[in-house]
Amino acid sequence: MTSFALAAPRLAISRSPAEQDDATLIARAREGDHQAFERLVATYTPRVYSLVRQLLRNAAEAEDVTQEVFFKVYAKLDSFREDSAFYTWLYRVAVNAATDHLKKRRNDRTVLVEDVAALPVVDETETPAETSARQDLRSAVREAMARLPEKFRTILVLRELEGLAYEEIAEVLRISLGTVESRIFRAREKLKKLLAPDLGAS
Amino acid sequence: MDCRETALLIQRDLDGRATPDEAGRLAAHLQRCEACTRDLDMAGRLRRAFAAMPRPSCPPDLASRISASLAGGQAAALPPRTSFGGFGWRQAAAVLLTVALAGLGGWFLGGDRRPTVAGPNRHATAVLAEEAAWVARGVPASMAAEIVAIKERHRAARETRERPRDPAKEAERDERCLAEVLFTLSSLPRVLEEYRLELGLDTAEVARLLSLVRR
Repeated sequence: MTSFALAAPRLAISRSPAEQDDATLIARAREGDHQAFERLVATYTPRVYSLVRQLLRNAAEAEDVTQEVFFKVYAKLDSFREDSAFYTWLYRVAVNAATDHLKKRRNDRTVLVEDVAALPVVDETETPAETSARQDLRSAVREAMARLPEKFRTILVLRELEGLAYEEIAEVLRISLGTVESRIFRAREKLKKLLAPDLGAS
Repeated sequence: MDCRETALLIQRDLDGRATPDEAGRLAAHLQRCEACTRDLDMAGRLRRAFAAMPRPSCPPDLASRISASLAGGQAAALPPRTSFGGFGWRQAAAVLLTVALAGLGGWFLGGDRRPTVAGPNRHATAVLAEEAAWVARGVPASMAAEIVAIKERHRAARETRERPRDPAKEAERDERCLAEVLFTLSSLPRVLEEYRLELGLDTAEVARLLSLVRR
């Protein structure tokens, strides 16, 4: 049978030997080596920022929350148990910080000023009409994601945009694999309904 | 197999999680079900749309700013670790605060002003650049102009009226200037906090400076 599987998500996070490096750096940071923690910050800031920004949809707030994440991680470094990978723990702290921030935003009744995530990607093999259609679909996906309930949006960001495996998502969100699968399924179904006209459903 | 089960199998197949048996059943169902074939096509298009979405680009200096903040003012609020670069957080914060306050005279009133172009419009260009820098921090343009005007006013006073130089008076003016800028920013808590961290000031010091303006 022909497999329908598309390419693996583009941002699969490397495990070993990166995890080995992380373990060494964490051990040194725990002993008070600031440069070791700086290296962890340098390595993981882009990933944490990307995740948080996609959850918050605002660049300035994402910068604040990314900083908050590393402050929390530093303060809690002693409580990190090495039975999970550092980045899944870091992602958990980041998701929780973003969730708290969203709650605060709702409580403050702050109006979100959403900004565009990045510049459009130019594909020189496309015709202008194809480029326009692709960008329209991307915009539609972005808007539809914003309309999803938070837990659906979070799991789709982790899966589709951050490229985490089901097992990693289960660790980050502290839910079972079965729940990961059913939640991703329901999130995608809801998204497909919202996007039906753009995806060409008949 | 019904279409509902097929929808789940499509997801498993797209995610590379379908067993050979499931993949076989899915293929058999798709051969005779047009609706599920369309569903598969939609799911594929959605997946490709996600794959084509650009990843947000992280500000290149964010990691270094975070590291600097960790080593600086905000760190004083954290539980002290055993050591940090050879000495504790609180000592590091205290040193930074001392250095920040001692250096305000040269730094805060334009010691770091680097005009982007040379020539007769250098000053105007520097003012515009400074306003733009405040706007880039998230400050409204009118407030950015106000902040730069505060600094210009104090700078002009120091350079024209307060001669010969008196280090004590200069320090007092620098402090007053900083207090007015912080007061102006106080309606923007996030920017104020960011600026506080950048200067390595603790919250008590900010409160003291704000009280200078309120008095």
